[in-house]
Amino acid sequence: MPLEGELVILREEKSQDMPLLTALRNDLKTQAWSKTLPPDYTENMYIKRFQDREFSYDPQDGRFIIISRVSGEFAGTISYTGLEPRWSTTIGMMLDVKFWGSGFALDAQEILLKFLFNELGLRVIRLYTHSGNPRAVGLAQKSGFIVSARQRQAIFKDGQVFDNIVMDLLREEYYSRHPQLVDSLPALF
Amino acid sequence: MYFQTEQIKLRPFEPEDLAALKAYLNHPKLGGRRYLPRGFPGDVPLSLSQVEGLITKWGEETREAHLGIEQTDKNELIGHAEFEWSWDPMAPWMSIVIARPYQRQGYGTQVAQLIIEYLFENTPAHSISGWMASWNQAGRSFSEKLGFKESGRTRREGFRQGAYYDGILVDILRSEYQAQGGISYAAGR
Repeated sequence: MPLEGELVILREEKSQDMPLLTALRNDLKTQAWSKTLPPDYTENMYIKRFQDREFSYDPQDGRFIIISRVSGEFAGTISYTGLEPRWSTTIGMMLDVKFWGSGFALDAQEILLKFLFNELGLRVIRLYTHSGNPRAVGLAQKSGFIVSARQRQAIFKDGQVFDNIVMDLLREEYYSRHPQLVDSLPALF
Repeated sequence: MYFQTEQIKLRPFEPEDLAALKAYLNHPKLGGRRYLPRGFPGDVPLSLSQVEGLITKWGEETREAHLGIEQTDKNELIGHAEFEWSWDPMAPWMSIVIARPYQRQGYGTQVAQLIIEYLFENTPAHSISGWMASWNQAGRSFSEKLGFKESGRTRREGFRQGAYYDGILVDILRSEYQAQGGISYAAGR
């Protein structure tokens, strides 16, 4: 069963997603970091990345495709990386511009957070964005993330220098926002 | 010369450093502030072969510099320093570790000044960042004395002695370095 929300589902990557992932990666609007440029990624690169993913019962990251529940359309991708088991991870998302403002991003973010806190038992979740991306900051705040650090002038993008923004969400903060969920993980002290 | 003062020099690690490196890394008071790569334990004692692997790993990184700190009088290894620009050469990171018996004697300050000067005088860096655990009061006052400013924290970075702790992020801008006197800021110039 895929991870389901109200508007979207998160499912594993499939080979048919590769053209759409390539297009998303080559759209400057959905690129948060200039270091990933230029926008010349090819479908073959994505196919290789997809095929090179090895089987593991101990994965350190997770990658999902965001699918519209209503139309079944590909809407974007959401992932977590750098997992410290039972402790922390960092999340990231790219949503096709045509779905901006649809509520899909928040729904996808909430599905992933629930999975990370409820299934993986993490204590804190982080994300990185920058001061030139207020939409990403606002989206994270809607799920309870706070800006915990602002590294000055650490990001260059679109001809401007921005602050790198670190945001995080603690386990207790998440559960206090979702009273329907019970956190039965014992406190550490 | 960029990597040397009258008292210390920064130079690459060699196999002959193994025993000295192992000895100071395993000092119990250095636990949690050894600044080792991901995959190496932060506080558990290291074996000789782990330390060998560490030197190999440090030497393999292409966008990181890992240097031993040698006290020139006695030709003794007294710590290690690193600076890395793997994310962005405009915003590198640095860290310094001084062996327990040599702390609080001004060596760390000399090393920091050499690295800061090197980065601002020879690379496109316009901000340099550092990181330390919130319990590391010595590290926090050290970075403050050097002119770094706190840019925030990564909450719940870890768990130690029965309590959560945060990561403290600090940074210094090129303009701040210049305001402090630029080149003449480094000791002995």
